[in-house]
Amino acid sequence: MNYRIQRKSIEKMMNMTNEEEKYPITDEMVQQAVDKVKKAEIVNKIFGYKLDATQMADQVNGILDEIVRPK
Amino acid sequence: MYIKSIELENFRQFKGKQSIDFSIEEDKTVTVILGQNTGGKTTLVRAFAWCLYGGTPEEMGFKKNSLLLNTEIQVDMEKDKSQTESTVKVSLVVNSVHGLSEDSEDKNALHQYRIERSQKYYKDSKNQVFAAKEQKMVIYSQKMQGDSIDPSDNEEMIQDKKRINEIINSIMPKELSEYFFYWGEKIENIGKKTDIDKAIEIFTGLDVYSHAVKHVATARDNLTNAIVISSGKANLHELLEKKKREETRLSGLERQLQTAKDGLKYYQEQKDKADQEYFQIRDEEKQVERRKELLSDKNRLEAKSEIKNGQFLKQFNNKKSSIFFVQKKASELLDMVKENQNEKQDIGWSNITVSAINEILEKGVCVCGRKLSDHPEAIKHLKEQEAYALPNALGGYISKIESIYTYASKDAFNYVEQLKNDYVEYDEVMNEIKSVESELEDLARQNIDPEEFERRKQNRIQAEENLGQAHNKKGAIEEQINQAKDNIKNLAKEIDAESAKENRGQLLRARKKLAERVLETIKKQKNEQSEEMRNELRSYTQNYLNQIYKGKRFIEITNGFRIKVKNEVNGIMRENETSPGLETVKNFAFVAALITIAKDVAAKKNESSADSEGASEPYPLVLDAPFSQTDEEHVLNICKLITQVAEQTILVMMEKDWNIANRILGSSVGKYYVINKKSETYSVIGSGV
Repeated sequence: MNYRIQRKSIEKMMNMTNEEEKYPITDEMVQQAVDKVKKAEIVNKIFGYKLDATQMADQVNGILDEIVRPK
Repeated sequence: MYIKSIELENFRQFKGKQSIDFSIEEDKTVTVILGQNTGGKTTLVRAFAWCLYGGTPEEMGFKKNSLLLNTEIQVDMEKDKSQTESTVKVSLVVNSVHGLSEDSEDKNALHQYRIERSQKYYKDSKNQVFAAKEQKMVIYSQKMQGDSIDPSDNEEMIQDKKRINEIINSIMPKELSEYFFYWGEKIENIGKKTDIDKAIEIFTGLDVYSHAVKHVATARDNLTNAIVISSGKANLHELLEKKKREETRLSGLERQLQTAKDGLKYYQEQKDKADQEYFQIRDEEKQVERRKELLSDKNRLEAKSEIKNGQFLKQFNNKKSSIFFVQKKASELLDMVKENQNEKQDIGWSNITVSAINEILEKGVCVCGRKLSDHPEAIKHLKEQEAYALPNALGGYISKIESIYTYASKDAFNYVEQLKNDYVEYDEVMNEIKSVESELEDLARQNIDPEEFERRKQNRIQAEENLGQAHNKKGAIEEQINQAKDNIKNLAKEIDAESAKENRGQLLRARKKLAERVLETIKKQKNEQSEEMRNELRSYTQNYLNQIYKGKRFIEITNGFRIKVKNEVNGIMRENETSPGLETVKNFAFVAALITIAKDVAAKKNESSADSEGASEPYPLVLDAPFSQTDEEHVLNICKLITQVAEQTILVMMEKDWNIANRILGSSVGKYYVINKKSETYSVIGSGV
C-alpha cells in the first residue's frame, strides 16, 4: 500500500517536472499575456464592445496559444 | 465626452422640436440656460438622463400616471380622431474623447455618438392616450477627425441592447450620472444610497480589468474542458460535468441574488418611506400629548386667574383704599393749613385746648392731682400754653394730624404696592392663558387623525418585517453561493489533480497555468489600482472641500466609493449629521475630485503603460439650480472650483442665482439660452443675451 502511494507520488512529480521543463511559464510570459489581454479589452471597449464575452475569451485563448507554443 | 447638443421633441412642456447647441470651445466651456420657476428647468435636465437611461415618468421624478408626452399634443390626440399616434423623442449628440495608444492600428479613434430615445403614444378605444410598452433606443456612431465627423467613415447604427448599454456605460455610467446630472434642486441628497464602485470602475478605466478577469477565467475554463476532452477519461468527464452543473447552479443563484438585492433595495426604500411617515406621526403624537398638557395647563391657569382676580378685587375693596384716594387731597389740605400758620405751629401740647386750660386753672388742681397753688411755675406754664392751644393756635393739632397723615401715607403706599403686585400676577396668568390658547389654536389647525397614526405605525412595522425577510433571503442565497463556489473550487482542484496524472494535454495544461497566473496578476493589479484610486479620490475631495468649505471636515471614502464627512471631537473622528448646505459643498468637492481623476487617467493614456488605457474621459456637469441651499460665499467658491476642473458645464438656473454665479463664471460662458414659459403646458427655448 505504502509502496503504491509512493510510486504514484513519484510518477506525478516526474510528470509535473517534465511538464514544467517542457513548457516553463516565466514571469516575462505572464507580463506579456497580461499586457496583451488588457490591450484587447481596451480595443473592444473603444470600439463599442463589438466582441461579446465568448469572442473575447477566444481572443484570450489565442493570446495564451501564441505565448505557449508547441515545441 | 462633451455634450454637443440636445434635441427634444414633445418632451413634457417642450412642444414640437426644440434644440440646444452647447458651448464646447476651449475657453468658453459654460452654457447657461435661464428659466423661471416651473418653466421646465428640471424637465430639461431630466431629458438628458431619460435619453441615456430611460425610465417611466414616475422614475424620472414626474407625477405618477403622468405622460412624458406634451399635454397639448395629448389633448389634440384625444380630440382629433385622425391623429392616432404621437412620439416623444430626445436626442443627444456627444463627442467621445476616447483614443488609442500610439502603437494601435487606429490611434485617433474618436467617435461621435448620436443617442436617440423615443417613446410612442397611441389611443385606446375610449380615446385615452397611452404609452407604448417599449421605448426605442438607437445609437448612431461615427468616427471623428479632429472636431468634426470623418466623412470617410460610414455611420454605424447600433440597436443591440447589450452594446448600447456598454456604450452608455462607457460614456456615463448610470450610477455615476447623479454626480454629473443634478436635478430637482436636491444636490444634497445624491449618492446616499447606492454604492458606486462599479460605476467608478468604468469611469476610471478599471472596468477593463474586470472584463479581463471575466474573459481570462472563461478562457481558463475552456482550457480545462479541452484538457478533459483530450484525456478521454470517463472520471474526468464526470467531474467536469459535475463542475458545469455546479456552475449552472451558481449562475442561477447569482441571478437570484440580484433579484434579492433589488428586492432589498425596494424594501429599504419602503422602510425609509415608512420611517419618514412614522417620524411625522411621532411628531403628531407628541402634538396630541402636548394638546393634553396644554388643556390641563389652561384649566389650572384659569383657576389660578380666578384666585388672582379675587385677590385683586379684595385688595381693591380694602378699607385702606379710601385713604389712598383721599391721600392727595389730605396732603394738599395739610400743606395749605401749614402755610397759614405761624412759627408756633409746632410748639405746644398737642391734645389740649384753651377751655381745658381754663378749667384746670379754675379748679386749681392739675390732671395729675397736684395743687397748682403749690406750683406757681405750673400756673405760669399753663398760661403760656394758652397762646398755643386751640382755638388760639393750631400748632399742636397740626402736629397730630401730620403724624396721622404719615402713618396713613405708608398704608396707602403699601396698599397700592400690593394692588400692583396682585395685578401683575393676574396679568401674568392671563398672558400664560393667551399663550396656551394660541398654541392650542395652532394644533387645532393640524388634522390629527388617530386612525392614520395607527395605519402608519403598522406600515412601519410591516416594512421592517419585510426588510428583515429580504435581508434573510439575501443572506441565505449568499450562503448557497459560497457553498457552490467552494464546490466548484474543489472540483476544479480535483480535475487538475486527475488531469495532471495524464501524459496527454501537457501543452494545454501549460496554457491553463499561464491563464491562472495572468488571472492572478490582473486581479492583483485591479485591487492595487482600486485602492490607489480610493486614496486619490479621498485626497482630492479633501483638498477641494478645504478650498470651498469654511469649516474643517474630514473626508472618508467607503469601499463602495461613497463619501462620508467626519469631524474631530476630542481626537476621535465622528460622522455627524450634515446640513443641506454642507452636503451640497461636499458633493461638489467629490464631483470635482472625480473630474480631476478622470483628467489624470486621461493624461496617463499618453504614457506607455497599458494600465490606464481604456479609461473614460472628461465629463460634463449638467446642473439644475445647484446653489439653492448654499450661501453666497459658498456659491462663489463652488463656481471657482467649476472653472478649475470642469471641461464642460451646462447650468440651468434662475436669473437671481445666475447674478451671483455670473461674477465668477461669466467670462467662461459660450452660449446663453432662456426658457420662455408660454403657458403651463408650453415652454420655448430661445437664445439669450
